[in-house]
Amino acid sequence: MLYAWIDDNGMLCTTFELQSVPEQFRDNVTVFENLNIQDHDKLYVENGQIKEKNESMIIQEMKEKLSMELKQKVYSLLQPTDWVVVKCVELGLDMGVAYPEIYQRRQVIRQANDALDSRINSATSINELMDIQKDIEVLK
Amino acid sequence: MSQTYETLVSGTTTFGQLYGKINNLAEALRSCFCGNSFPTTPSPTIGQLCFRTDLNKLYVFTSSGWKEVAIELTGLGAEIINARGTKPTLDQRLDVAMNEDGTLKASTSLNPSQWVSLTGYTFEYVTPTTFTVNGSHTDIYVAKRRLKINLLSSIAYTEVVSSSYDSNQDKTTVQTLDAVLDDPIVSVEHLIISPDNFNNADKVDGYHASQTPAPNVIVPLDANGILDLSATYVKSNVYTFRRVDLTDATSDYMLQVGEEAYISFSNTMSVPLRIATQSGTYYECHLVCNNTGGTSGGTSGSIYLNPNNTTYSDSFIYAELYRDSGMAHSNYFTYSAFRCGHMFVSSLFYITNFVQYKNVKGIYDIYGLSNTYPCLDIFSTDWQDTTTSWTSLGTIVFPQNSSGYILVQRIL
Repeated sequence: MLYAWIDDNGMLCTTFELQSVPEQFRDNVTVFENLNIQDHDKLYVENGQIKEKNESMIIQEMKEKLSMELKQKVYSLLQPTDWVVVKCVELGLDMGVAYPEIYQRRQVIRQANDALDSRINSATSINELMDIQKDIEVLK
Repeated sequence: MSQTYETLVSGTTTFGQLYGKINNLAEALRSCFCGNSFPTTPSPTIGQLCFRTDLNKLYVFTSSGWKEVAIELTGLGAEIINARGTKPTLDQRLDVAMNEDGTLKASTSLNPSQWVSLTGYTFEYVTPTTFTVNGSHTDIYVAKRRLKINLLSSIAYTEVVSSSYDSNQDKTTVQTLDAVLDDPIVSVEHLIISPDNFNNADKVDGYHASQTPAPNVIVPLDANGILDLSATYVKSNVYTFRRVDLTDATSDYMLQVGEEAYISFSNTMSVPLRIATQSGTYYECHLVCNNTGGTSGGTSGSIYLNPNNTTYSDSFIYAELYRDSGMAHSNYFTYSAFRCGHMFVSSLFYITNFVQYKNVKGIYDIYGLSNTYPCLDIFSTDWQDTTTSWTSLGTIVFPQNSSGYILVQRIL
């Protein structure tokens, strides 16, 4: 059970128990019997009405979120060796020759990024996206 | 009844009535207007007497009405009543201290000795810690009773360890604590108060001492030197030393400064803390999962603290630095509640609750995924709201069924 209301600041609020709904909003609370305390993100507000997102909306949001997480993760993996790229450009070095291991590792990261990005874009279910999220988290 | 007091009226009272009326007047005066009620006709005058035959008391009419002569006029009655003290009669009170012939009863000594001696008995030295006395006196020589040993040329003090009576010899043998006895023993005196009567000797200012904590009881350190208060607690004006078990509590509890809440949870996805809070408070919180450690079994997802048991859409900004088996990372995310952990966690965080600034910050270890065993995460979450009151500390929400413990101590 999830109780939802819009507070004085126009904020969508949810709770799992009616007693936690501020008294002034109890008459306007919307009850979602099939949702629980973890499901705040499954709701949205449209024209002042609290509605439950359908699966395609949730999938789309998850895709956007995962794309951002993937970018951040890949950035954080590449960033520590960016100096090698700068050095090779400055000195006119062939990175694949001067730093083959780092070059290879960056290639692997980029390939993983491309593969995961492709999987995100083509995913059609929430479970599929949750698997991708796990793969992003363990990417190294 | 002699209250027939008829005034003689000139021109009205006939001569024939005169004898009777004068006799009535004289009788009323002679009997002090005796009767079982006060005279009313004619109206009484100040100084008039009345003897109440029903009460057997003499009254006088005063400016404030009829008053008993003995009490109101002379005060003598009141003085006598006061002199009774707590006894029902003055005679009984006098009997406490005075004989019938007026002599005083035998007085007690104002300076009695604290030592008494068995008279008519013979004390014999046995060893420096043993003496005997004829007769059965184990009731006198009980353990810990103080003794004054009168030796030939000195006095020694010790106490009884034990005593035993030999009926064949009709002799009591006494063991003393200290080796102070010498031969010969002139006499042995014992303390007038037996240790058996020391039941209240543990009292300080009227409070007993006991190893069992209870209201109005002084608790000593135990055998290990620990002040064990068990279910009770210590409180000062500024700090409370107490742990309260709020596991499965159903209503919010307001922690005092210093007080700590303990909550255990098992195989659940949410734990309402049931802790009331208010602006101006600060807490230290330990969230410890005891699910099996490892590189798998964790569901990717964050752990949240929902203030007021509520989510507020996109109102919480989360900053983190973390190091997993890959490398160091950082993030800046928006959430609908305070994030305070991830997957399975051992988290230590501090909660700041001022209505104008509300924050959760801390450090945690994540486990349950291939790259997070361990994973060190330093974080801070601000609730970007400066007006909403935080009145209930809230609910911890997990991404999967979790077990463990939560400790919340109020610091401010």
